[in-house]
Amino acid sequence: MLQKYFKKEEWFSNIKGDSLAGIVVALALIPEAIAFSIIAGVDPKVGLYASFCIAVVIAFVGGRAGMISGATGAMALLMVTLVKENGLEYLLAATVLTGILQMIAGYFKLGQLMSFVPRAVVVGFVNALAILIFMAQLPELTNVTWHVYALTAAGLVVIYLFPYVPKIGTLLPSPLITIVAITLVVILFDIDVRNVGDMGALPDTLPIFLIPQIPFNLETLMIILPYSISLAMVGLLESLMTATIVDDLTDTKSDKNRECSGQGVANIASGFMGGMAGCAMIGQSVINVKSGGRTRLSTLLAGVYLLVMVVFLSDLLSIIPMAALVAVMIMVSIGTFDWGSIKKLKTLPISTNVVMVATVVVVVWTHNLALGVFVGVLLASLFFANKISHFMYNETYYDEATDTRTYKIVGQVFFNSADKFVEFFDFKEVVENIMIDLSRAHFWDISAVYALDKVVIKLRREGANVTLIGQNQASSTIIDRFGIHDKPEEIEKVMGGH
Amino acid sequence: MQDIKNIEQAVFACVDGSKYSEAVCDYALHIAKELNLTLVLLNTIEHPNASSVTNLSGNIALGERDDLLQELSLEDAHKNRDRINNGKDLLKELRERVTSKGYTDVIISQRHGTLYENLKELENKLRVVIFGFSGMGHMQKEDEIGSCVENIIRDIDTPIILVNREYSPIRNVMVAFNGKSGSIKALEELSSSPMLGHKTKRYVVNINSNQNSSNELIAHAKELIKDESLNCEFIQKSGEPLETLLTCIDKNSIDMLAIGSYSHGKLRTAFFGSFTTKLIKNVKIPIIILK
Repeated sequence: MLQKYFKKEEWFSNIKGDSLAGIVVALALIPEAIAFSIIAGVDPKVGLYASFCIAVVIAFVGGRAGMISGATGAMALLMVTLVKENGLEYLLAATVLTGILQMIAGYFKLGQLMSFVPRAVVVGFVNALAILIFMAQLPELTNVTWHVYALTAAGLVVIYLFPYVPKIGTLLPSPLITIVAITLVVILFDIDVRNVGDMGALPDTLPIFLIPQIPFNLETLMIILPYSISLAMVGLLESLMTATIVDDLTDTKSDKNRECSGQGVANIASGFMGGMAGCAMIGQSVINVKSGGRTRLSTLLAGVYLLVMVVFLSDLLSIIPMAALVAVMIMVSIGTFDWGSIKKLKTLPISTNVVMVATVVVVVWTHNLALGVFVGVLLASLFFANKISHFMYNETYYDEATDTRTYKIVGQVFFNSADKFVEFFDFKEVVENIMIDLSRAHFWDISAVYALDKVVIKLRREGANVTLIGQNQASSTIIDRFGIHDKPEEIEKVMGGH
Repeated sequence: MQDIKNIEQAVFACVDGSKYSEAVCDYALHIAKELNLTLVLLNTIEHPNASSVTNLSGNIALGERDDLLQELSLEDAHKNRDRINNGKDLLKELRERVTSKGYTDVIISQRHGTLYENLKELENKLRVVIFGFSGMGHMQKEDEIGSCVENIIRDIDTPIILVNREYSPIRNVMVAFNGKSGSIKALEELSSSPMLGHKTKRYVVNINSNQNSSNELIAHAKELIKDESLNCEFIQKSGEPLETLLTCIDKNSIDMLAIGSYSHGKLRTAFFGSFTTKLIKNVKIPIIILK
């Protein structure tokens, strides 16, 4: 038990790298948490408390060392209407419920369901997320004076060019430099632009345990449950995706089911501490790895630094111009975007591209990542079924001596290929005997059985004697016990005929 | 060459290029000869759980994820190749050492992952595991032996020999007997296993401030040793256990100490320390942990 939850090498094998990365991540977490609170329509402190709670809790209970979790854009977008219609307290309750659902998912090992989400949908999810984060910045850039554009543009220039400054470029986080520089410019030249303080309350104390002030009844549950289901799904999806990205980057393994329940615990903690629901953050996790963070220590320190900075520097935070924040968030959205996927569009099959683009379009249209993933998975499954339905052909020959027509069906018969199966048969032909050899066919579902029944009845009605060969073997695949099909010899039967 | 996958049981010498690698190899050769088993020289390439490049610029550009992956994997590949080559050279050198001493039933194996992971995977092939203690790159405090070593001792269910000095022939072996289940197992194993040779002298020592219980324990120990042809000597001492044991080892110029495995859980050990750990840290002769 203890051994599982406290591995020394997951904490103390990289102390120097983790301490530094923790600072860089905390500095980057602050503007993000504020920005995502604004997206969700709550005070910045809700996002900051959430990022602190989630980062600290997940450091202990998460399944992926070196991954950063906190308040995220994907989750913030899902709670907009809940906050608008019912207020903050319902959001906190929904956050706790989200956590409970995620813990249940972890307990039932639903992390494995992730394998049903194809790569194209994952890429679409990430790209849609990037676009949404960018779009969420647009309200800050409309109906404003030219100063805001100038400041934002200057901020982006600093973010991307500062790292090229020799020596200090790779020692100081460029988003921090940007924020400090722009804040100084605004104060020195006394420019009248909106700042973080205008957006709502910042934390002035440590977070405290609070039970959400909501009526505990069925009505409340019915209000928050749909939100919690979407939040739980999107949270787990983004967390597991991010875990895979960190796995790849660091060439190490993660425990996906522990991550699911860990996210649950973290969200429960966040809800009771006055924070919004969150999940793993792609951009932050990449920044963490890039800065040298590898273990749980960097996640924990990021959370702790965040809280210390926020509580003691809240006066300073409030004077940060929104333009600086927007610049940082544009960087986050650009960094989240999977650029490689655009370059690969030309080489990938059209069906894959359709799935990816459809996921992006649905998400951007509805602002709901869960819906996008659902559409993406559905489309991908349909394309897959369509591909498999091509794996069926028929051989037919006629024996004049006995006046027998034989149809030999080879391949996969299921809902999508059932019509094609029926079309193999020539119902117009007048023959005495008809033999249907199914010994190399596979009937995957009830549609296939219906199709066969239909064919047999029709042929009999035309006056032929119909004989079936190998029907039992063909339909043995209908049985849902897939355990036996995992054995090599059973797979060989399906692939190569009985 | 023989493949590690086809071996049923073997003596595993785990070498990492630290200063006792040759001694580990020699002890393993001795044991392999006694047991007439294949000797496997195992070198593991551990994935570093630490970062080396520091870039604190904290920004992410378009396509940064792919670039970072590229960069990190190149770096790892480079380091791994070095480690693999070093390990290969070491293994070949040690195989040469073994064959030159006339033992040909030896194979070399190089695997990715930590030593613990690999031993756990190979567990059913292990007859004896031998590795050097004070291995390279382990920062140790007074009461710590590195979590890797402790986990191996706890979880790997075969005799383990910790080598902490140059090789010298095993003419005698001492077992610390306190009547607890761990030391009973150790004593039983010591008196029945062919591993240490029949002629090797066995010392059974009990350190106890209470003379009566000491007498009882020694009587119990005598019962446990069924093979009467073994050359045994029983020693009773009183005093601070660790100190007394160390002086006892010195006085009788013992070549190897046999002990049982950890008797307490990990949590307790983490808070209160462990006699086993202290022993492993302070004893200057190779230790065999029997279970």
